Amino acid sequence: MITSLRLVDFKNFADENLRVGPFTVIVGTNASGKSNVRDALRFLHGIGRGYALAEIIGGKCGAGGQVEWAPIRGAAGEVVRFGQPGFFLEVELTLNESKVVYSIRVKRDEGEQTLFRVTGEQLKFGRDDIYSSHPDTPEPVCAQGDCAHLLLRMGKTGQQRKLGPRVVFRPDQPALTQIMEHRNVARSHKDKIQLVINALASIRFLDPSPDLMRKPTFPEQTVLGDRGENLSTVLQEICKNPKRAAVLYEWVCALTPMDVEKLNFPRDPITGLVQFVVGESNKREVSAFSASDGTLRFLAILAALLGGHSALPDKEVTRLYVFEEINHGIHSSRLSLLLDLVEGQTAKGGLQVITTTHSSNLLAMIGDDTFQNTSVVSRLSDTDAAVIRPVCDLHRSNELRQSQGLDRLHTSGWMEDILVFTENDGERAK
Amino acid sequence: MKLLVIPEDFRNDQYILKPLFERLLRTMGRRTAKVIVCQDPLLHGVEDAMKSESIAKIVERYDGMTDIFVLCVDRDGRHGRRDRLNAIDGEFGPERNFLAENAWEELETWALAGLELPYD
Repeated sequence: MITSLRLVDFKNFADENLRVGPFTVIVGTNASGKSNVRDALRFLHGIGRGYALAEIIGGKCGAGGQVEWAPIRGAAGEVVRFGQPGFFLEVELTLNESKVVYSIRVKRDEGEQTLFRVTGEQLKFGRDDIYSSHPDTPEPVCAQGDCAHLLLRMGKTGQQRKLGPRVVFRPDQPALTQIMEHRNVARSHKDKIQLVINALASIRFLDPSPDLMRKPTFPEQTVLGDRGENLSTVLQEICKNPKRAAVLYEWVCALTPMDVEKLNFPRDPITGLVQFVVGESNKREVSAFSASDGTLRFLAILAALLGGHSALPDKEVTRLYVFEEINHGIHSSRLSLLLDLVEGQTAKGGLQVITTTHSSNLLAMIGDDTFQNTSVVSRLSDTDAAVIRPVCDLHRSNELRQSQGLDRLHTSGWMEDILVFTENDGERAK
Repeated sequence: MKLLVIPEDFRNDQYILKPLFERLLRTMGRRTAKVIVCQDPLLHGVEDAMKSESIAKIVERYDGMTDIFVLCVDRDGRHGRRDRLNAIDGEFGPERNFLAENAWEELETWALAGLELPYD
């Protein structure tokens, strides 16, 4: 599971760290930089998918010409903070009970062929250095001779006395995914690298679209799309297990006035496509076409958290779902249900959720554990940089949360005010 | 210096109070002073702004990191308003720098005071 993310000169962050827990909530005013955190996670996910830098930042079409990966938001050059030569991302994870740190430095390239190149990369797995472009000890690799190559020093393995081999990679793609093809890298290193790749590849970005979720889907499509595609067949897959089906019905009954007895999945006789139909105890049936937007969004969240992950490369890896406004479309009186679902499922382990929110009502109800992983993003006045701070670390926030409620602190703009009063704008502007 | 201005309704008043206090502090040589206009959306109107319980909540939130609290309300032609503001001063002032002031008769006159009006 990811435990922290450091962003240096990435978009509007100078050097900031996001604390990540089982359920992480990010708040902040419009245009503060919340979505830039999501973009950083998308960048890391793109690495996990084995893409080159140009593809991660600029988008990728598959072999059939279909859009496989949307570009990172904004103009390509805007991925780097204004006036800076490049950016640096560092992600900390816990994998197999070991602390893993992966970092990558990307420089804006002035060459005609490429816009960006990797100028530094490092992976530490527990106490072991798996590889580094800039090892702590002085050695030739640190010089990074030319722009056309990235030199790495592999960590030593059992049979090596001092240093592992020196290996050369193309700088237009993160070495993490090039290493797997390299003959001169030990199997034990490759196994650990594969775990990191799987963890990054397992990040999902859900932005469910009610229109797409209403569409009948092709049988046996059991992977929930990022926009909620295949919802019907994913729900069908969940309902094949009676216990999971019962849990699903219970949540839908709690959220809606419907008395759900069963979800049915009739197949259209002509197209062969499947669409879910809610069967109520009074024998009334409600098709997906009639389901409200909020109900559909909640169903997509349920499908994601209860199942719909069969396409993940490694079932042992913690699944990380990233949402924008997870509460969107859900009535304030039902937000406690949503929180029960997310906090309950993430507490079981094996699942992480990161969401942004503007909902004070949601914040009013978050549990103590979630509060520890709630951060505010705020752009300070007179600078182009934003800061990320855990709300629980703000001046007397724990005490004020008890006496006035986090919702009041959020609505009144208190979090941003405290940052204005406590952060040194002048220093950051430099 | 950190100064918190508490208006009776931040929606319009913030556009007068923030630049006014920033300029005032700059003139006094406090170039790095930070001015925040309290944007508690539940504070609507002068009656609400002068309630002890409303002010107490704001003071609780910002106490310990604010050098000066300034409550700014309209006088609205009410003769007794100063007395009420003095009472608020007395309630919150002893333990911190708390000033309560009323604008004659509306806050907008403070903005007009800084303008060079045409002679005709």
